[in-house]
Amino acid sequence: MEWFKNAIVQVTKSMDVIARVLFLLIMLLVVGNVIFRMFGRPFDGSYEWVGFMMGTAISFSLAYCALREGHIAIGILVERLGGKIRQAVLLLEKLLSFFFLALTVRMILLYGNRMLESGHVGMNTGVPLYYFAYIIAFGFLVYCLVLIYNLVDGAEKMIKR
Amino acid sequence: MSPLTIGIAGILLLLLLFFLKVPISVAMILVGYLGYGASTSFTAANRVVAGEIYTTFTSYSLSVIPMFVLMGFLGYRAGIGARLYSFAYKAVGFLPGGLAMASQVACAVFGAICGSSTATTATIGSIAIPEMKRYGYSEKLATASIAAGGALGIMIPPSVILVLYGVATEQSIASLFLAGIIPGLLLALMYMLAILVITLREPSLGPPASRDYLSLNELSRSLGGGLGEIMAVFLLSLGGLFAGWFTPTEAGGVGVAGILLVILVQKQLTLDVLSNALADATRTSAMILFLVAGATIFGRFITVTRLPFDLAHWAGALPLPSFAVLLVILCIFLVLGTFIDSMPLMLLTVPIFFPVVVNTLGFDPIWFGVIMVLVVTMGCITPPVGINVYVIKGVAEDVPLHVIFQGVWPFLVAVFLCCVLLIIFPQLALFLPQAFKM
Repeated sequence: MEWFKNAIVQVTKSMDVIARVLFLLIMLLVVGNVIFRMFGRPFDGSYEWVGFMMGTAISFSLAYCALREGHIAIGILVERLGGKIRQAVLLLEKLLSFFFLALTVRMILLYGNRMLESGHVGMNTGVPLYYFAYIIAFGFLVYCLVLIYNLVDGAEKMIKR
Repeated sequence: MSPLTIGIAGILLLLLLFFLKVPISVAMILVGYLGYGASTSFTAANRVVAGEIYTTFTSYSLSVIPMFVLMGFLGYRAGIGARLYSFAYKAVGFLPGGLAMASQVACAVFGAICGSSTATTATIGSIAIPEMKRYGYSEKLATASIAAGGALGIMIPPSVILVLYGVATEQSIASLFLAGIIPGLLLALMYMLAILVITLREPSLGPPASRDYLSLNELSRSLGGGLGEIMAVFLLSLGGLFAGWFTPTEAGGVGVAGILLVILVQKQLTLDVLSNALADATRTSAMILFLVAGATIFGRFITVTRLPFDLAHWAGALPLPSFAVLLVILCIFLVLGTFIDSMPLMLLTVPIFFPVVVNTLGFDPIWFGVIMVLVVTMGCITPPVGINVYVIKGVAEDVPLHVIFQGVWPFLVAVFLCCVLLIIFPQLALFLPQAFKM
């Protein structure tokens, strides 16, 4: 399973690098808009582009954040449990999170399909909104893969014990 | 099952998931989905979950968070904390407990730039604790003063928690930032007073680091060593927001660009600094926005159960004055704050308590936001969760956790007194927003 783990690390890290670049682009767009607005020529649709780029950046960094255990959780009770029970509870938590997030991927994909059917586009940019729903669904899909990674890792540790 | 029963069952399930270590954002979405589905239909719940996640992630108004977070991490990675501490050390280092006081000054200013309590605690802690140890400070005072001071980061603007409160309750972020300034500075002052009292009672806990008073010229030279420019960027960013030139996102963007420019000119901008700051910012922003999405979905569920309305009705009918009900609510925050981190606590409780406090009891929403953040501040340093204490433990690994927790009591008293002052004199928070006509 090492190849799978390495692939997950590489994919999530690459997506996070894209998110970092998008953060810089958001900053440049926002500051550029402020400067150009002073001369009476603000960028059309800049607010929408900021939203699109942020949606992409956040969904692309969700999985790497999960890989680095960046999502806040309360561990005071679980950490007091004994070794094997703790591992079992943590596996249960990952399994539960995995199933629910997989369901969330489906929900967002269906939401994107409805946007596609109804022809929703950005008011100022005219960009179809369903692109970004699919991008967000992809971000959650990779988050699910990180949970599989954690499940495999946790199961291996349990077997070793 | 009545909607109210579903609501209460949902809250219990949420607590169970928290204790199973399910990430708070995932738990809130899961319970929100199940509860909303049970109260209405699962087809509607599907749309609410997908729609709220999409709307939160692509929201322009929430893009303020990544910008201010990036601004803070750039300052952190570029070593602004060290320069701030050196400046504060020169200003008050000669006093008994002076190094601990200097840490409070550095925490207040760095927290203002950074907006994150954990980043402030880690930055100032890693600089100040070794210095305090060198001058013979007690471990208890050295570590606890930084853990408490780090929480100033969520009080003094730009504060990410105040942004979240503003977004969740549809209040002006600029007004909230203005309202946080005086209470934040007051809290810093109270912390310094607490240190002075501790070291006057037992001078060996924090001996003076230097016997020399500094002249104004030396102080201004110290400010000129790069700090002045950083403060100018900070003032431009927040000043532009208060003056109505920028939206909050633009204020954050201008702050990021300004800090980048200053550290570039000062030759401190390396690829490592930029890359690490961006990595910290993407991780933190993803965590916060996922949390916001979770809280919004959970809030939609709580609203359909009519729990806030029933609670508001019940609170309104209580034979108690408004202040007594408010105190009960603040006590609930305090208890929850001991085991739930400040940000999820704020997002989780606002949909429930905001209508009660503002619509039923008639308190000012801006003032309540500040008071709520102040109470949440206490949660950052109270056991068992007290996030800042754990950050300090990471910085000073040799100091036992119980020693740090013992040391924070005088600072908890200071926050409590600050809360009392703010309740007695609401103008401490409301004066600046009213003066700026916001």
